[in-house]
Amino acid sequence: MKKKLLDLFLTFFKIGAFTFGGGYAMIALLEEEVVTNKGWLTSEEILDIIAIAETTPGPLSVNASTYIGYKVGGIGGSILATLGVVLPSFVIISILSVFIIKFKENKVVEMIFKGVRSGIIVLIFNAAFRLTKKVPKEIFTYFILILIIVTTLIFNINVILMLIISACLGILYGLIIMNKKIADEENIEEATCDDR
Amino acid sequence: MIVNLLELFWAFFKIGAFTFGGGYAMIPLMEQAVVPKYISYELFTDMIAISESTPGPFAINMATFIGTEESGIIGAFFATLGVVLPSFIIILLIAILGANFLKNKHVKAAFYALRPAAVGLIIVAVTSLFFKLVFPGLELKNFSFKELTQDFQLIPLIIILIVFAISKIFKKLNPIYLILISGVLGLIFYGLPHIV
Repeated sequence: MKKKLLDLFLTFFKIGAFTFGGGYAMIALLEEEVVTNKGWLTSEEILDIIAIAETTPGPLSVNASTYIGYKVGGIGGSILATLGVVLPSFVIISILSVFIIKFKENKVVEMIFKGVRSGIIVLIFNAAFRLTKKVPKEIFTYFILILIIVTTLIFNINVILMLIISACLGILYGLIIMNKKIADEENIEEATCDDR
Repeated sequence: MIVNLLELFWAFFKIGAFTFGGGYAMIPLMEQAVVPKYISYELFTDMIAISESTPGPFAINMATFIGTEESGIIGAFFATLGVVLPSFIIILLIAILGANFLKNKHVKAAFYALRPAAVGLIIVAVTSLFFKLVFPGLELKNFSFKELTQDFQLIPLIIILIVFAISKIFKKLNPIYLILISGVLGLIFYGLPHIV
């Protein structure tokens, strides 16, 4: 059991150390390590886990490590796997923090950073564009989209509040749709009954 | 000291609990939580860039960085623990109790709204960054055409357009290279006037 825990820690340490800038590269590495190399889970199970990890709050890597860690080694496994996945960035950033402020005092470095700020905008824009295309083209979803943009961007309303409101609106919408569907089905039933 | 640490923990606990849709979608949330209380807007945007180039999710990098700035390594620990804990607990519950609650129709309905909300947040992130970079004096709440032209920054716009073009021509290019290129462009455009 101890070996398994150590194994979990090291595997997720590796995953945490080699995924730069974001989720999807991590998924490939996750699959390679957890399914192909260690055989802890099957490909189908990984897909389910990723679906869960993408839905729940928190970073993908932490969600995946917690879940897989638990499946493989109980609560201890989830703790060690999560510790492993978090540690590389924790160590790197802590060390970097000491230098960042000093670095930025250098004029040359500041010029590079100024350029990078512009580059980041392109990255996020491309991501935003890609994801907006995937939003279901319905009134409700576009309403939420625009609501969030207007309240956050222009009026700077608390994001957490808006997320809670959005979730509630979603539930409300679900109830309305359900009621409409039930009403529609009743109408259809009535109509078909009359034919007899 | 203890109050600071608890405040840090709580601030990042809230961030960890409400970051859906990964990565860029959490920028507005995080900005509201830490700017200007813990760091300047400028440093915040630079951390986005640094996070793209270092391993680890944006949320954890930010927590570690701000925690270190605030209260050294202990601060980093408390902040990172805060940001990781919500998802750790939620995922552990799902792993132990089963993912059935995710199939609940109300939960599904809530997520149906949260997905476009997350996309909305990404759009907010890029729009906000763009305007603050290219039109620094402008406040969207009090929009005025005068402000639009007053502080206009041409160089960021040029760099954005160049990097955007490159990202469209070389579609498979790893984002890190785009960041490097934008850094070099920053060096050129901001540095050249000094040399010439």
